[in-house]
Amino acid sequence: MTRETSLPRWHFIGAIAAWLLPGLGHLLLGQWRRGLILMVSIGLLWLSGFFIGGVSVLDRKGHPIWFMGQMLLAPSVIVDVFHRSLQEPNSQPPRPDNPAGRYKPSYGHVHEQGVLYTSLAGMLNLLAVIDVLYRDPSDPRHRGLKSCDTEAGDGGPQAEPAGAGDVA
Amino acid sequence: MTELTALIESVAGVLTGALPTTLGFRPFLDPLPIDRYWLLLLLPMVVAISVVYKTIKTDRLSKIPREASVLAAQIVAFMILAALALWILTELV
Repeated sequence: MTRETSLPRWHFIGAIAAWLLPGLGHLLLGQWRRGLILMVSIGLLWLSGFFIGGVSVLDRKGHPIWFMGQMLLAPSVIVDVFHRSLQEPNSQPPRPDNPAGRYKPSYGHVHEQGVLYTSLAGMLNLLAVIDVLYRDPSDPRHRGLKSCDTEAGDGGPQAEPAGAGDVA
Repeated sequence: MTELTALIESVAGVLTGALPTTLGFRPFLDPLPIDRYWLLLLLPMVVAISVVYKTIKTDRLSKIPREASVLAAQIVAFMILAALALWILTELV
């Protein structure tokens, strides 16, 4: 039996890690360069969304479908808790013309872009989670990987097979 | 120097929960005042989508820059075509 076929196809721990932090699942599987690229690109997209639209782009009542997309990235949960803490009843109501408000909600195109950025980051992270969750041994991208469910990947470049990346 | 102090107070305020109100723009709390340039924000988003998709799909990482650039160009081209089609539909038809 070859090493490829002896590896488990399902990596639940890696998938959970990928949800917690983009790219972490790939890092645990030994695909450290692929994981770093995913971490930087998805992380930047997610951060840019909040930078563009502010914390109010997380609005579970205003746009619940987009909110589900945003929740595909675990750090959004922390931001949502922080956002709700800003909306405490004894705090001043946030209004765009109220400089004394705890934050300014975004409107219009800027709000849309912020929601789009953060939701897309979540949906792209879902692709990464699925890619980690199931590994097809016959796929050249997945040959020679470490199993994060049975042993910790050291993240070394030797973890990826020749021809499966890390050539850049 | 005053602006720097205000910025430091802003960051500290965010961390402690006591948010200052001296700055017009507080990063990550207030929206960017870029209502007129929102369309340009689509470009970095397209690039990010292309990079992430190709990072997951391609077998060799050395192919990512070229393949992601091609995919980003294709997305932008089709967005322009779609916009043109919709403009024709709404203005001329």
